Amino acid sequence: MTKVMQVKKKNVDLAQLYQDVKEALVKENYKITKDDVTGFTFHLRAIKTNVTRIIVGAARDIELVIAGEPNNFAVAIMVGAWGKNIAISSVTGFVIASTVAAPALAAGTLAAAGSFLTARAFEDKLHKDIEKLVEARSKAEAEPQSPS
Amino acid sequence: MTRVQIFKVKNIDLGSLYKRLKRSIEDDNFKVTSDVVTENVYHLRAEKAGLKNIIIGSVRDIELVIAGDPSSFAVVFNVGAWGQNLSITGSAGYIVATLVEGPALAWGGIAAAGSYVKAVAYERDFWQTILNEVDFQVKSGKKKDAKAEGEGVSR
Repeated sequence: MTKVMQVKKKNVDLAQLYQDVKEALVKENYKITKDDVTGFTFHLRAIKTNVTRIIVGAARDIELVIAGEPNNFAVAIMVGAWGKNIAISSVTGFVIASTVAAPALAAGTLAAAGSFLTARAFEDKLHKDIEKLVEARSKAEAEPQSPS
Repeated sequence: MTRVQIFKVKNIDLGSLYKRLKRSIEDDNFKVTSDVVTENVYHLRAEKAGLKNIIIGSVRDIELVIAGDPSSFAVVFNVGAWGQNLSITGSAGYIVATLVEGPALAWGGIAAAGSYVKAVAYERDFWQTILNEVDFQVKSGKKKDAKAEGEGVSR
Protein backbone atom coordinates (compact mmCIF):
# COMPACT_ATOMS: atom_id res chain seq x y z
CA MET A 1 0.00 0.00 0.00
CA THR A 2 1.54 3.21 -1.14
CA LYS A 3 0.52 6.81 -1.33
CA VAL A 4 2.55 9.38 -3.17
CA MET A 5 1.88 13.05 -3.54
CA GLN A 6 3.58 16.08 -4.95
CA VAL A 7 3.40 19.42 -3.20
CA LYS A 8 4.12 22.62 -5.12
CA LYS A 9 4.39 26.29 -4.17
CA LYS A 10 3.81 25.80 -0.47
CA ASN A 11 7.22 26.92 0.77
CA VAL A 12 7.45 24.36 3.52
CA ASP A 13 10.44 23.82 5.78
CA LEU A 14 10.94 20.14 4.95
CA ALA A 15 13.13 19.46 7.97
CA GLN A 16 10.39 20.78 10.23
CA LEU A 17 7.69 18.82 8.41
CA TYR A 18 9.77 15.66 8.72
CA GLN A 19 10.26 16.29 12.43
CA ASP A 20 6.50 16.77 12.89
CA VAL A 21 5.73 13.51 11.11
CA LYS A 22 8.36 11.67 13.12
CA GLU A 23 6.88 12.93 16.37
CA ALA A 24 3.39 11.90 15.23
CA LEU A 25 4.64 8.37 14.53
CA VAL A 26 6.38 8.10 17.88
CA LYS A 27 3.12 9.16 19.54
CA GLU A 28 1.44 6.28 17.68
CA ASN A 29 3.96 3.94 19.34
CA TYR A 30 6.15 3.41 16.32
CA LYS A 31 9.83 2.80 16.79
CA ILE A 32 12.03 4.59 14.27
CA THR A 33 14.44 2.02 12.85
CA LYS A 34 15.99 4.10 10.09
CA ASP A 35 16.45 7.82 9.85
CA ASP A 36 18.36 8.95 6.79
CA VAL A 37 18.55 12.67 6.17
CA THR A 38 20.47 14.42 3.40
CA GLY A 39 20.21 17.93 2.00
CA PHE A 40 17.10 17.17 0.00
CA THR A 41 15.79 13.86 1.25
CA PHE A 42 14.25 12.73 4.53
CA HIS A 43 13.73 9.01 4.76
CA LEU A 44 12.52 6.98 7.71
CA ARG A 45 11.35 3.49 8.51
CA ALA A 46 9.39 2.68 11.61
CA ILE A 47 7.91 -0.51 13.00
CA LYS A 48 5.47 -1.67 15.63
CA THR A 49 7.04 -4.48 17.55
CA ASN A 50 4.40 -4.64 20.25
CA VAL A 51 2.93 -8.18 20.36
CA THR A 52 -0.58 -7.02 21.19
CA ARG A 53 -0.62 -4.93 18.09
CA ILE A 54 0.41 -7.87 15.95
CA ILE A 55 -2.41 -10.05 17.27
CA VAL A 56 -5.20 -7.54 16.99
CA GLY A 57 -3.92 -6.47 13.60
CA ALA A 58 -2.67 -3.09 12.51
CA ALA A 59 0.02 -1.52 10.44
CA ARG A 60 3.25 -3.51 10.72
CA ASP A 61 5.73 -0.96 9.45
CA ILE A 62 5.94 2.37 7.75
CA GLU A 63 8.37 3.85 5.32
CA LEU A 64 8.21 7.55 4.62
CA VAL A 65 10.14 9.70 2.18
CA ILE A 66 9.99 13.46 1.84
CA ALA A 67 12.24 14.61 -1.00
CA GLY A 68 12.72 17.82 -2.89
CA GLU A 69 12.81 21.49 -2.01
CA PRO A 70 10.38 23.74 -0.07
CA ASN A 71 8.35 24.72 -3.13
CA ASN A 72 8.42 21.43 -4.94
CA PHE A 73 8.62 18.13 -3.12
CA ALA A 74 7.24 14.63 -3.02
CA VAL A 75 5.91 12.67 -0.08
CA ALA A 76 5.74 8.88 -0.31
CA ILE A 77 4.10 6.79 2.39
CA MET A 78 4.38 3.01 2.36
CA VAL A 79 2.50 1.04 5.02
CA GLY A 80 3.01 -2.68 5.48
CA ALA A 81 0.29 -4.75 7.13
CA TRP A 82 0.58 -7.90 9.19
CA GLY A 83 -0.82 -10.73 7.11
CA LYS A 84 -0.64 -8.84 3.85
CA ASN A 85 1.31 -11.61 2.16
CA ILE A 86 -0.83 -14.47 3.38
CA ALA A 87 -2.47 -16.57 0.69
CA ILE A 88 -3.98 -20.01 0.40
CA SER A 89 -2.40 -22.18 -2.25
CA SER A 90 -5.01 -23.37 -4.74
CA VAL A 91 -3.12 -26.63 -5.23
CA THR A 92 -2.44 -27.74 -1.68
CA GLY A 93 -4.87 -25.69 0.36
CA PHE A 94 -2.04 -24.81 2.73
CA VAL A 95 -1.73 -21.34 4.10
CA ILE A 96 1.34 -19.68 2.68
CA ALA A 97 2.94 -16.68 4.24
CA SER A 98 6.17 -14.87 3.95
CA THR A 99 8.40 -15.10 7.01
CA VAL A 100 7.55 -11.59 8.00
CA ALA A 101 3.83 -12.27 7.94
CA ALA A 102 4.09 -15.48 9.92
CA PRO A 103 3.09 -14.07 13.32
CA ALA A 104 -0.26 -13.00 11.90
CA LEU A 105 -1.03 -16.65 11.26
CA ALA A 106 -1.63 -17.09 14.97
CA ALA A 107 -4.69 -14.94 14.63
CA GLY A 108 -5.90 -16.68 11.46
CA THR A 109 -6.59 -15.25 8.04
CA LEU A 110 -9.74 -13.42 9.12
CA ALA A 111 -7.75 -11.39 11.59
CA ALA A 112 -5.15 -10.88 8.89
CA ALA A 113 -7.79 -9.41 6.58
CA GLY A 114 -8.79 -7.11 9.40
CA SER A 115 -5.21 -6.00 9.90
CA PHE A 116 -4.92 -5.21 6.20
CA LEU A 117 -7.91 -2.87 6.43
CA THR A 118 -6.55 -1.30 9.55
CA ALA A 119 -3.24 -0.63 7.88
CA ARG A 120 -5.02 0.94 4.92
CA ALA A 121 -7.01 3.12 7.26
CA PHE A 122 -3.82 4.11 9.01
CA GLU A 123 -2.22 4.98 5.70
CA ASP A 124 -5.19 7.20 4.82
CA LYS A 125 -5.03 8.87 8.21
CA LEU A 126 -1.29 9.49 7.96
CA HIS A 127 -1.73 10.90 4.48
CA LYS A 128 -4.40 13.33 5.71
CA ASP A 129 -2.31 14.26 8.74
CA ILE A 130 0.65 15.07 6.50
CA GLU A 131 -1.55 17.20 4.25
CA LYS A 132 -2.67 19.15 7.31
CA LEU A 133 0.92 19.54 8.48
CA VAL A 134 1.93 20.81 5.04
CA GLU A 135 -0.82 23.44 5.20
CA ALA A 136 0.13 24.38 8.75
CA ARG A 137 3.82 24.71 7.84
CA SER A 138 3.23 26.46 4.54
CA LYS A 139 4.72 29.92 4.24
CA ALA A 140 3.47 30.36 0.71
CA GLU A 141 1.39 33.45 1.36
CA ALA A 142 3.25 36.73 1.63
CA GLU A 143 3.64 37.88 5.17
CA PRO A 144 2.23 41.33 5.88
CA GLN A 145 4.96 43.94 5.84
CA SER A 146 5.51 45.88 8.98
CA PRO A 147 5.38 49.67 8.56
CA SER A 148 8.88 51.14 8.51
CA MET B 1 17.44 22.71 -8.66
CA THR B 2 14.94 19.96 -8.16
CA ARG B 3 12.59 18.05 -10.38
CA VAL B 4 9.71 16.06 -8.97
CA GLN B 5 7.17 13.89 -10.72
CA ILE B 6 4.59 11.37 -9.64
CA PHE B 7 4.01 8.42 -11.96
CA LYS B 8 0.80 6.41 -11.77
CA VAL B 9 -0.56 3.32 -13.52
CA LYS B 10 2.80 2.53 -15.10
CA ASN B 11 3.38 -0.82 -13.39
CA ILE B 12 7.09 -0.99 -13.95
CA ASP B 13 10.03 -2.68 -12.28
CA LEU B 14 11.44 0.06 -10.06
CA GLY B 15 14.57 -1.95 -9.26
CA SER B 16 15.39 -2.23 -12.94
CA LEU B 17 14.64 1.47 -13.52
CA TYR B 18 16.96 2.42 -10.66
CA LYS B 19 19.71 0.11 -11.85
CA ARG B 20 19.65 1.58 -15.36
CA LEU B 21 19.62 5.16 -14.08
CA LYS B 22 22.48 4.42 -11.70
CA ARG B 23 24.52 2.99 -14.56
CA SER B 24 23.78 6.09 -16.61
CA ILE B 25 24.96 8.31 -13.74
CA GLU B 26 28.16 6.30 -13.42
CA ASP B 27 28.68 6.53 -17.18
CA ASP B 28 28.56 10.32 -16.74
CA ASN B 29 31.63 9.99 -14.49
CA PHE B 30 29.87 10.51 -11.19
CA LYS B 31 31.05 8.68 -8.13
CA VAL B 32 28.19 7.17 -6.15
CA THR B 33 28.72 8.18 -2.53
CA SER B 34 25.52 6.79 -1.05
CA ASP B 35 23.24 4.04 -2.29
CA VAL B 36 20.27 3.21 -0.08
CA VAL B 37 17.82 0.60 -1.31
CA THR B 38 14.84 -0.71 0.62
CA GLU B 39 11.74 -2.55 -0.56
CA ASN B 40 10.06 0.65 -1.73
CA VAL B 41 12.77 3.28 -1.84
CA TYR B 42 15.83 3.74 -4.05
CA HIS B 43 18.03 6.64 -3.09
CA LEU B 44 21.46 7.55 -4.36
CA ARG B 45 23.84 10.42 -4.05
CA ALA B 46 26.74 10.96 -6.39
CA GLU B 47 29.35 13.63 -6.82
CA LYS B 48 32.06 14.84 -9.10
CA ALA B 49 35.03 15.23 -6.87
CA GLY B 50 37.81 15.87 -9.38
CA LEU B 51 39.50 19.27 -9.08
CA LYS B 52 39.33 19.69 -12.86
CA ASN B 53 35.58 19.48 -12.76
CA ILE B 54 35.39 22.06 -10.02
CA ILE B 55 37.63 24.52 -11.91
CA ILE B 56 35.92 24.36 -15.25
CA GLY B 57 32.56 24.58 -13.59
CA SER B 58 30.00 21.88 -13.68
CA VAL B 59 27.65 19.81 -11.60
CA ARG B 60 28.86 19.38 -8.01
CA ASP B 61 26.58 16.57 -6.90
CA ILE B 62 23.30 14.90 -7.66
CA GLU B 63 20.66 13.09 -5.66
CA LEU B 64 18.09 10.69 -7.06
CA VAL B 65 15.12 9.23 -5.20
CA ILE B 66 12.58 6.73 -6.49
CA ALA B 67 9.93 5.91 -3.89
CA GLY B 68 6.68 3.99 -4.04
CA ASP B 69 5.42 0.88 -5.74
CA PRO B 70 5.39 -0.13 -9.42
CA SER B 71 2.04 1.51 -10.17
CA SER B 72 2.39 4.62 -8.03
CA PHE B 73 5.78 6.15 -7.40
CA ALA B 74 7.63 9.44 -7.15
CA VAL B 75 10.90 10.38 -8.79
CA VAL B 76 12.89 13.25 -7.34
CA PHE B 77 16.10 14.48 -8.93
CA ASN B 78 18.28 17.21 -7.51
CA VAL B 79 21.40 18.76 -8.98
CA GLY B 80 23.83 20.87 -6.98
CA ALA B 81 26.19 23.21 -8.83
CA TRP B 82 29.51 24.67 -7.82
CA GLY B 83 28.87 28.32 -7.01
CA GLN B 84 25.12 27.86 -6.90
CA ASN B 85 24.88 29.62 -3.56
CA LEU B 86 27.28 32.44 -4.33
CA SER B 87 25.90 35.92 -3.91
CA ILE B 88 27.15 39.44 -3.42
CA THR B 89 25.85 41.26 -0.39
CA GLY B 90 24.04 44.48 -1.20
CA SER B 91 25.53 46.40 1.67
CA ALA B 92 29.17 45.33 1.76
CA GLY B 93 29.73 44.12 -1.77
CA TYR B 94 31.54 41.03 -0.48
CA ILE B 95 31.09 37.68 -2.11
CA VAL B 96 29.30 35.36 0.24
CA ALA B 97 29.50 31.63 -0.14
CA THR B 98 28.95 28.57 1.90
CA LEU B 99 32.08 26.61 2.83
CA VAL B 100 31.40 23.95 0.28
CA GLU B 101 31.42 26.46 -2.57
CA GLY B 102 34.81 27.80 -1.48
CA PRO B 103 36.84 26.44 -4.41
CA ALA B 104 34.53 28.08 -6.92
CA LEU B 105 35.51 31.47 -5.49
CA ALA B 106 38.87 31.19 -7.20
CA TRP B 107 37.06 31.74 -10.46
CA GLY B 108 34.79 34.52 -9.31
CA GLY B 109 31.10 35.04 -9.87
CA ILE B 110 31.16 34.67 -13.63
CA ALA B 111 32.65 31.19 -13.53
CA ALA B 112 30.15 30.27 -10.84
CA ALA B 113 27.27 31.52 -12.99
CA GLY B 114 28.65 29.43 -15.86
CA SER B 115 28.70 26.30 -13.72
CA TYR B 116 25.13 26.96 -12.66
CA VAL B 117 24.04 27.07 -16.28
CA LYS B 118 25.82 23.78 -16.97
CA ALA B 119 24.13 22.20 -13.96
CA VAL B 120 20.74 23.38 -15.21
CA ALA B 121 21.49 21.83 -18.59
CA TYR B 122 22.58 18.59 -16.96
CA GLU B 123 19.42 18.52 -14.86
CA ARG B 124 17.28 19.03 -17.97
CA ASP B 125 19.13 16.35 -19.94
CA PHE B 126 19.16 13.76 -17.19
CA TRP B 127 15.49 14.36 -16.45
CA GLN B 128 14.80 13.49 -20.08
CA THR B 129 16.86 10.33 -19.56
CA ILE B 130 14.66 9.47 -16.58
CA LEU B 131 11.48 9.95 -18.61
CA ASN B 132 12.92 7.85 -21.45
CA GLU B 133 13.87 5.09 -19.02
CA VAL B 134 10.37 5.08 -17.52
CA ASP B 135 8.93 4.70 -21.02
CA PHE B 136 11.43 1.94 -21.74
CA GLN B 137 10.38 0.09 -18.59
CA VAL B 138 6.70 0.46 -19.50
CA LYS B 139 7.33 -0.98 -22.96
CA SER B 140 9.49 -3.79 -21.55
CA GLY B 141 6.71 -4.66 -19.12
CA LYS B 142 4.13 -4.75 -21.90
CA LYS B 143 6.35 -7.02 -24.00
CA LYS B 144 6.77 -9.41 -21.09
CA ASP B 145 3.00 -9.43 -20.50
CA ALA B 146 2.29 -10.09 -24.16
CA LYS B 147 4.86 -12.91 -24.19
CA ALA B 148 3.35 -14.48 -21.11
CA GLU B 149 -0.14 -14.25 -22.62
CA GLY B 150 1.15 -15.79 -25.84
CA GLU B 151 2.70 -18.69 -23.96
CA GLY B 152 -0.55 -19.17 -22.08
CA VAL B 153 -2.54 -19.45 -25.32
CA SER B 154 -0.18 -21.95 -26.92
CA ARG B 155 -0.47 -24.37 -24.00
